[in-house]
Amino acid sequence: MQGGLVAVVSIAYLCTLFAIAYFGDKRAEQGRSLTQNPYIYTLSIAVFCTSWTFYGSVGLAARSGLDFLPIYLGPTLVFVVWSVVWVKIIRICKLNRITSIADFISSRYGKSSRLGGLVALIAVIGTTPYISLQLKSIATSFEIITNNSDESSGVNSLMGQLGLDSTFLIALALAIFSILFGTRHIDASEHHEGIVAAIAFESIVKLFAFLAVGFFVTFGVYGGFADLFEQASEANLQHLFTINPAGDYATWVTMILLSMLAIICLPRQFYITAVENTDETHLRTAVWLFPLYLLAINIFVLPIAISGRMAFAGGGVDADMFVLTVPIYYGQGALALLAFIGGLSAATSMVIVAAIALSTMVCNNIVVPMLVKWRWVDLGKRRDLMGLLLFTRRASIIAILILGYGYFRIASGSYSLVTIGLVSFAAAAQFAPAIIGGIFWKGASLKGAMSGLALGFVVWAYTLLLPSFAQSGWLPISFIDYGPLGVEFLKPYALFGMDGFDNLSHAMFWSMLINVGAYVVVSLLTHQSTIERIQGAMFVDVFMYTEGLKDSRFLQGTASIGDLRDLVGRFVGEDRADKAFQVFAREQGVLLRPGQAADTAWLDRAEKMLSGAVGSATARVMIGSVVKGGIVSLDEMYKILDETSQAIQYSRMLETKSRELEETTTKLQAANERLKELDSLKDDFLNTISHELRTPLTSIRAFSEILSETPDITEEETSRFLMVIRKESERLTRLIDQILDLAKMESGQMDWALANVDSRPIIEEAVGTMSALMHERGVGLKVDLPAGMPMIKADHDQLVQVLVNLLSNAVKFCRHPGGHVGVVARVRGGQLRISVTDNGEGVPDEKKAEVFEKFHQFNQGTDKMPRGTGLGLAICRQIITFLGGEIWVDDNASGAGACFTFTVPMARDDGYFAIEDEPEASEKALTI
Amino acid sequence: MKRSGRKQEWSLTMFAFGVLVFFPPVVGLFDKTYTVLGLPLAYLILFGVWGLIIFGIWLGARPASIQASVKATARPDKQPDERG
Repeated sequence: MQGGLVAVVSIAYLCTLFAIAYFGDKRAEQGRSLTQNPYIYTLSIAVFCTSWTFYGSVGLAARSGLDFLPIYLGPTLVFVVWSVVWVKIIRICKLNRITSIADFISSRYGKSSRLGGLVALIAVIGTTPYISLQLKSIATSFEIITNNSDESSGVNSLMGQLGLDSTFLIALALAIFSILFGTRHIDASEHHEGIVAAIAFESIVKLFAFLAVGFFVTFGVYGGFADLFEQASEANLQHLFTINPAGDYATWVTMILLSMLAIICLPRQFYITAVENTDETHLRTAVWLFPLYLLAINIFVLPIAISGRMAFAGGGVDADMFVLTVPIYYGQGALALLAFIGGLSAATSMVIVAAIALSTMVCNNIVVPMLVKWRWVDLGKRRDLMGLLLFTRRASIIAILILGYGYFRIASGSYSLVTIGLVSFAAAAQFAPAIIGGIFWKGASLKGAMSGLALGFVVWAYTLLLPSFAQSGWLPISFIDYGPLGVEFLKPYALFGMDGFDNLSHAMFWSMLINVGAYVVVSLLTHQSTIERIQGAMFVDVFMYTEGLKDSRFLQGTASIGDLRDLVGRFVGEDRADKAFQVFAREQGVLLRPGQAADTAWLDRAEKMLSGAVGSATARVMIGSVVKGGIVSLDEMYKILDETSQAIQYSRMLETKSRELEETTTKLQAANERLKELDSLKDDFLNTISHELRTPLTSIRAFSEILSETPDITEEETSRFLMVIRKESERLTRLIDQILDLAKMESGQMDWALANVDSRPIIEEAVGTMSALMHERGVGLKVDLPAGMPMIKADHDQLVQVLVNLLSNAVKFCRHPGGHVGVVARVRGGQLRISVTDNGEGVPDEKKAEVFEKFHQFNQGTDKMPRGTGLGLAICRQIITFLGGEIWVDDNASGAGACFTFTVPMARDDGYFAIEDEPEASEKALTI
Repeated sequence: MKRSGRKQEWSLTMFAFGVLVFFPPVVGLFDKTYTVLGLPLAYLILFGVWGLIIFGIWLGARPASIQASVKATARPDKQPDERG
């Protein structure tokens, strides 16, 4: 085929890409996005299918059958668990404005810029072979499609004169494309719609081209699948129908696992799936459509490979290029050209996305942290930082492509496409422990991630990269065969004597063992700083933060909003920053006042905006640089916040507990005291009561013994003794009744008949009961009641009992001639106050409180014999206290004797409560 | 996006199914050189199961099923009351 024609078509294709990207960007600017739909998103993820898929799969299938499939089965399995893995990663990326896989890992492990730099470095080293692989496929396919028809390629000769080749031109075009559409502006949180649109278009082209070749081979050359496989059987190619009939599936399993890790960890896949995702719900479509895409593009791999083997049965043709050479063999020039364009699209899409993803990492995670750290640029003074960032990114893109091109020119000649691809995959897989562990294990620490990643990378380089250099002639080949300096023990393909595995499985085993081992062990052995702990929780519990709690980690400081706007403006452009701040102010419902001190929400927002442009680690340092004054560092801040709040919580809990304990102790002590008191009271009571009961019983017994044992007792004595016995029995009965009453009252089992009762009849009844006795004893009685006696709230019978007890006491002590008793009732302070006075011996001051105690009686009178039970006043006090009144004893105001007074509350629901205290002058005497 | 617990269980089940079929020892059972229905057995089963799993993911990822269940629970009051 004419080289000129191929060149023109290629250029036309690239121009179409430019046009689509331009159109996509324009539409996005107008707000009518092309790419914000799940199908474009899915097609952009299909950047996974590079020229490795397009050419390499067929090559592999032509050599070893179905061995090419793991690379696509692995991603399918990962997309099966999309709701566990992808949704989480995408959510984290959105929440933290993650711009790349390096940003993701560094952000997870405490926003460490060293870790971010390491990831970026590994990504660049690991991806370079892969980019060179794409360039190689472009070069090889170009060579084949032009050489196979016509040698007179004008373009080639022209380039040969310049010392360049078409591949270099393609690389240059891709660099320009990536720069134009991948670095137009710097706010990485805004998606590159043009790029995504172009990538999606390329995915359609490569699928279409591959299916076209597949259809032609299967249905054009052969009579369908069955015919093709039958002829293959006849040509003795059955071994291509299998994976490995010998039963060794080590490589198969390794490749499935490796591709599972790769679909997450390849920088370009991470970038296009997680960072360029505009809407989480697009995943719903992508999770089944992307595997379907993979399935579709793989259906014809085996048929093309088999037909190639049959067409070129003599060998001598690179199986990697069967997709091109088979159509050419059958004279299908146009189809071959279509296949070439398909391969070109597969290669260019990978190069473009990888270049953009890598340049973002190189800029944000390597260059800018260095600028900040070594103060090459005074960030405080330099105004046009956006220009600096854009320049860095553009330069990175060119550097990455030059690196890839250089590797292609020097090293890729000795390798098949698949081998180079797997070396790259294995490098990307080193990120897996840090990523997967980072989103599911909070305890993973920065040092663990650092050591795992670094050691895994070293082992990868030793077991895969260095041998590839040796095979390319950079290192002596003896390095592979006999180990470094002849140490067989360290042979890179049989480390520590482990052989019998393929190179890839061997490398994966050792690198993953060291990587995961170091990651886990070091994480367990080291302490997490507070910010690591916080970021760890943010990542692992991202659904809790986004679906429940709000993100609440903040910086604290004294920067003004204007400072922040200036800072952000230097990186994302003044206009953009202005707009973003105004939007945020509106969201917050406040006016934008540049002079105002930025609160935590503003700082957080500014940090997020910046991290979109320069990565989260650097953004933190930047914000820190404008936050003025002797403010504590962020790390300290987190520490303080975290630990103080914990301490406060603990001390609060402790305080509460100890207070509760104290209260309980006090209560227990009180209860104990009370119990002791009750115990001694009970003892006293029993002592007293047995004594009180014994006294009358003794006299009853004594007199009855005299009566029964003395035969010559006189009639008079008999009746006197009998009288004593009777009196003592009565006293005993009374005593027992009163004890029972008192016990009932004290234990609260008394049946009270509380009611509103008239007070006058109560007094009259009690006086009436006692008047006979008084008359008999010659004791005078004077009752003084006011005209209108109030209603009171009381138990009629019990109150009578109180009065009777008081009166009988008074009578007892007034046996001397001229003794008299007075009863006075008055309304005082809303209560009825009743006093019973006598002119007996009175109560000594020191006894006044004790007379109301149980069994307390002081022997008065000449005989020193107890005259009562000692329970009367105790019962009075119980009753009065229950009724809500008080009882006490005074000296008789008008001479010798005692005056017992008690109060009873008046009824509240009748007219009497309004009665005023009666003046002393109007007292009227009533004598009975 | 709403993530429901049953979807996760479903994904994990499909994942386990894929791992079971694609990994040894099961993969060895159909890794034979003969053809069935004109297709190599391994080719047929690998692509067949692959397609099945994709169908399984599609079943689990349909947003429609969530909306349907939301409708079913959110509008129990909207009973048809036109009885003619």
